[in-house]
Amino acid sequence: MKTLILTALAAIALSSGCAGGRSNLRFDDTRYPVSLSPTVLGSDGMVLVPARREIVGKLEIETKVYGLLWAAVPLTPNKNLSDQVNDQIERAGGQAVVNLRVTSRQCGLNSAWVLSTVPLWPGCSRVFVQGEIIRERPAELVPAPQAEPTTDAQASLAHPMAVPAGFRSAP
Amino acid sequence: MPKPHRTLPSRLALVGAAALSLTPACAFESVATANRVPVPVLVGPVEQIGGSAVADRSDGPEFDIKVDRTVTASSSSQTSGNVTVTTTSASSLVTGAGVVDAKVRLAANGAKDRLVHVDRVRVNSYSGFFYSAAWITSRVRLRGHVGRGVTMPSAAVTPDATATPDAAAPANPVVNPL
Repeated sequence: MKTLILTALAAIALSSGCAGGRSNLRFDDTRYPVSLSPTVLGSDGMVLVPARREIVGKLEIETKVYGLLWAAVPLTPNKNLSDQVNDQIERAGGQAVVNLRVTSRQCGLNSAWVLSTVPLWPGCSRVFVQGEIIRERPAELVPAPQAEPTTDAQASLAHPMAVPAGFRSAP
Repeated sequence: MPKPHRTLPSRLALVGAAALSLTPACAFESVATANRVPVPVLVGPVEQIGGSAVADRSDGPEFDIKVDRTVTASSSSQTSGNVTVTTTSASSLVTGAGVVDAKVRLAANGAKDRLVHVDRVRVNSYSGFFYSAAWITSRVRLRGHVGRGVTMPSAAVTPDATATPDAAAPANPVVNPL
């Protein structure tokens, strides 16, 4: 009877497997604003328009996070990327990061289907963090518009995502 | 209807078929970004250029966004006499990157002048199989909340934006003498 139970458990264990990795990415110690959107707040506290900033570099971080016991136990529950972000911004001479992209991808260890039946077989996730390192351009260096806008719609186009005032005015 | 009869080699073949069908999916990835949101979506404690870390105490609406990419495959076999029919099916679920834009705007209730804070960024990828089914999944999960209001540059550039509807009317309307 005991042999039968053990055989059944072994059959179940060998017919299933899982491998992977998971983690929380931390940016708690970054010294510069990091944004998933195209904007951050400028030094004056207002939302920075594209004309008031210049791209000085690219943020590229690649890392792996591992897991055990069929991906149930993360080996790095929290991955702090603050130092890498700070270093890359300072090397590029930037002041912020915009258009941040976070990518999670499979890694080769997860493809070992037969070995993933073993609980101690590690799995992992490849993580890519990319963005644009920017620097604020002083207002006096922003080229002035060449011609006076003739319509409300043209005046409102200073921010590319603003709705032109002409569409909001009452008939 | 004859019941399916599976031996150990055929079961291994089923698992192998399911695994092979997912092999091209091992390069699948899940991506999260907010490239269409017009306000800052911050992942760190610093809010502005030249500023220091701010302990955000705002308690605006919260959001929980999952950007998934999942592929599953399963295989089954049926034998009738000398004929064996094996059926393999695969399905794919992809959450578009635009879901971050949509859910952030939904959480902010359409407001275009409030900061957004991402409190947690979680990534995971795993693949597994059970008997004759297999799956591969990648996910990026964002949890956060809507923060304080900010000044948008369009308000300063467009003087008409601050004008009230009554002020648009002329102070001394011309009266038709007729």
